[in-house]
Amino acid sequence: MMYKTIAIIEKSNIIKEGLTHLLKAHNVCLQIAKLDSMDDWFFVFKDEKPDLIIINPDRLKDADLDKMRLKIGISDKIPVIGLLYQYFDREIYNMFTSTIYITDTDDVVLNKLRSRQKKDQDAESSEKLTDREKAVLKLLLKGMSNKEVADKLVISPHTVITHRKNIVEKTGIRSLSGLAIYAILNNITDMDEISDL
Amino acid sequence: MYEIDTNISGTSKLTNVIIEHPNVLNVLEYFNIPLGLGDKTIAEVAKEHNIAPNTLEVVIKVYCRTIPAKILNKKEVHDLLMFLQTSHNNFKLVKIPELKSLIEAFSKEIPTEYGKMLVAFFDEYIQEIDEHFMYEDKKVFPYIANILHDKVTKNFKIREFERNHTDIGHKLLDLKNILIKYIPPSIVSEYRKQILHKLVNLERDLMYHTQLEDNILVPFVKNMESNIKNNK
Repeated sequence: MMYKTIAIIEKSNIIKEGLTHLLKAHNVCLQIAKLDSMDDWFFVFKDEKPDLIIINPDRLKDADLDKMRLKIGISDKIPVIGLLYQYFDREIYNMFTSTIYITDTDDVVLNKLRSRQKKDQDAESSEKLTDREKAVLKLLLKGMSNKEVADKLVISPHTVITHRKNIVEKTGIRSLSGLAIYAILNNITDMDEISDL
Repeated sequence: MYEIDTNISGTSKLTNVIIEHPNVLNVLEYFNIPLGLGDKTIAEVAKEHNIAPNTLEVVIKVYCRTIPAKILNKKEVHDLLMFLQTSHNNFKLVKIPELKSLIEAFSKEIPTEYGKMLVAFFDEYIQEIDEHFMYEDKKVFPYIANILHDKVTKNFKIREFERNHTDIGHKLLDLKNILIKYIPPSIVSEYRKQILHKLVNLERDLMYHTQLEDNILVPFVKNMESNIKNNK
């Protein structure tokens, strides 16, 4: 599996283009977004976020990675790799998922990215809905509220919400009416079991 | 593979930009600029069609996923507003109906119950997006048009728009997933691919549209609001 979009945040064009060239030559990803600074972030990314970020620590405001994640709305599941060629406190590069140095050879850089990829892949759960998730979906499609589903299945409303989140993540479908089509296509429920959504 | 960076400026030849970034064809459509561009630059084309050159450049840059300059003057914002309004009309009267008729044609080639659900799903989307556009056309854009004449309407502030500016893309993404992943391979129809092409196109178009609203229009209006307030 390739990365879809990698964002490179770096001021130097020489470094940025060099890294882009390397990623392209080895088909590491489909798209590369090159940004001079975090100020440009929201122009490039709105709903769709990159799946990997490579950033020079000098582009981080207040040298705070968590703050940046919060500001741009990316979870800590998305790896952020430090791109290093200046002096930084060890504390700063410890914040990153991993780091690459401009003195690294191509193979070393690629291996670091690939080993990230493998881990990310393993973390991704299976796509199939569990029986419990199917049961929750079926009831939701009947028009029940989270609370009603919780009562019916004797679980907490909070658990229902977690199931819902997982259903959306696994299927890639957010709207209930879209999920209704999914459920019919996958024989999870019948036409006459679906209320007007 | 494509890269999200290009050196586009007012002096770029529009033909070259379009060859690299076919999305820009939509920009021409909404600005009512006909093809047959010859070797004209973005700035020359803008001048010829009485569009503020910076506006055309900013819009094209956004449609090429590059980062535009941020500051626009009143004439430039006026032209941006025109662009956004014509885009709305085009979405409502052309792009969405086209998609709808393809979905209807597709629904006739698949088992009736799926077909009905798909059509109903898309109708729901149309209703959502109509409401979204209506709010902007009736409330937000007139407010901004007033502000360009230094008139501030009392009962509305751009903050309200910012808060209400909901994501209208997720239903399209749902539909993409249904078509790509879930309708089984046994259902063979040319329409499926056609719908997907149009869907991806519309989705991108709406994304750039929203970027223009959120990142160019809103900051300008906010600035105007506080200027007008301070001058009072």
